[in-house]
Formats: sequence, structure tokens, C-alpha cells
Amino acid sequence: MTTTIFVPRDSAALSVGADQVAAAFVTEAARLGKEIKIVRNGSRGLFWLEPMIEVAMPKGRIAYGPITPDDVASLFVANFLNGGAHPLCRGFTEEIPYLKKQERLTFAGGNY
Amino acid sequence: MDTSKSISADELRTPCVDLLTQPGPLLLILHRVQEKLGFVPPSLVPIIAKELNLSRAEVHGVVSFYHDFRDHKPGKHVVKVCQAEACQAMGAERLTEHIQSRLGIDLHSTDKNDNFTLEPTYCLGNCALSPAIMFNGALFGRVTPLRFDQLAQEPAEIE
Repeated sequence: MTTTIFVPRDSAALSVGADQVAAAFVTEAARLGKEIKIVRNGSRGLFWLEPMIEVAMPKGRIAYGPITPDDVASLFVANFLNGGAHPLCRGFTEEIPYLKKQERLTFAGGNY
Repeated sequence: MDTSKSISADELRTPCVDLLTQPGPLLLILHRVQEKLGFVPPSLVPIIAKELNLSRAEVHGVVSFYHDFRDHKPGKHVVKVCQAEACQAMGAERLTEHIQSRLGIDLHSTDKNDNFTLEPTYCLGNCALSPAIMFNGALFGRVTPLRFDQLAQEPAEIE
């Protein structure tokens, strides 16, 4: 089954290595034979967690961050493709208090 | 455009031909020149002024007003380190001192081998990820002395 991973690509996320993180996911998934689809979206604005990646799960997205390329292998080990526990796991994105308290309007171009 | 000799009006016009028809093209032309040469040679100021039917003083005023424009050739790699409030609060002064000692140059200067030019800048808009620098035009956030050393060692990585 193909799992969708969201990796931001706005300038703030790129400034802390989001491109290198996205590339590391592709490499590691290929090495392990896992099917993933990377969607480059806009940032949710939680810059202290950037690069903050999200995994699409049936009940909503689960966030992990801040991620460096060195964390990617351990995320696969932690079964993050199924929302597995990891020290950098932030739970359901929509439940993060900073986001939950906001009403957000976003543009379709952000690929959210 | 070759800077080893003085640049003729034709040599200026060719790379800027798409800009000359635009209204108020002075800034666009200056950006194009700096993109091509890395700086705006003072010898070009009268040529640009003539092309745009402006006074030399007007063109000189614009070039010297914006600190982003240089009047001399920069080093191979350009490092801009943010000195604004958010970055200062997150250690930009210490980072700047580190970069100066790593490159062996002060702000506003270029090393003897024309390898690095170091410039201060005042806000790159990446305040939430302070301290920020630009390295060859690419933005970097949460820059530590260690991260800077990695960038300086492998500048090709970000070109």
C-alpha cells in the first residue's frame, strides 16, 4: 500500500533542510522496498517543528518534527508509516494545541 | 559582459533587451547586471543613464541607496549574515564572530583569494528560524557555527 508523506517546501522549511529530508525518505523507502508518495506542501506554520513531516493515516495526519535526514532511518524502524511512536512524533497534526485553537483558511496551491 | 575592459552600450543592451521596453526598468537592469557580473561596475552608470535618459546622479543614487548592489567584484561565495533583532536574540553576534574567524575576514570584506565575501544583512524574513544566513543566494535557518562550517566546506552542495 502506498502511504502519503507530506514534506513542506516553503522557504522557511527549505532553510532548515526540507529538501534533504524529502530526498532521504525516497532513498530509504527504496532501500526497504516501501511504497511512499511524497507531497510537497506549504508549511503549517509551526516553524519550531520544521521540517515537520506528516503521514496520512485513515483517522488523520500524524506529525513528526523537527526531522533531519539522520532521523529518517529511525522513523522507518519506528513504523512511522503506520503512525508508530517515535521521540519526534507530535501526534495528530490537527490536535496540536497551536493549530487546534485556530480557524485556518488556506489556498489550494499549498497542497495541504 | 566581460568586466576586464570597459563595457559598451551594446554589451549592456544585449542581456537587458527584454527589460528596456518596460516602464521604469532601472532596478530590473541593475539586478540583471549584478546577476551577470556579481556587481554593478561604476563605469556602467553613465551608460545606463544614457540608455534610460536619466542623469548619472539619479542612477548613482539608486545604486548607492540599495546596499544589495555592489560596486566591486565579490568573492566566489557570498555569505550574508543577518544582524536584525530576532537573529541577535538567537545568537547572531556569536555566529557572526565565528564566521569572521572561520573566514578570516571582517564584515563588508572579501578574503585575499577572492573565495568568500562576507556581508551583514538586516532581516531575511526567516525570524522564526533565527539565526539566518544566505549562502550564495540560498536561505539557511537555525544556523549554528557547526552548520556554517559544513556549508563553508562544501559550498558546491548548495549551488
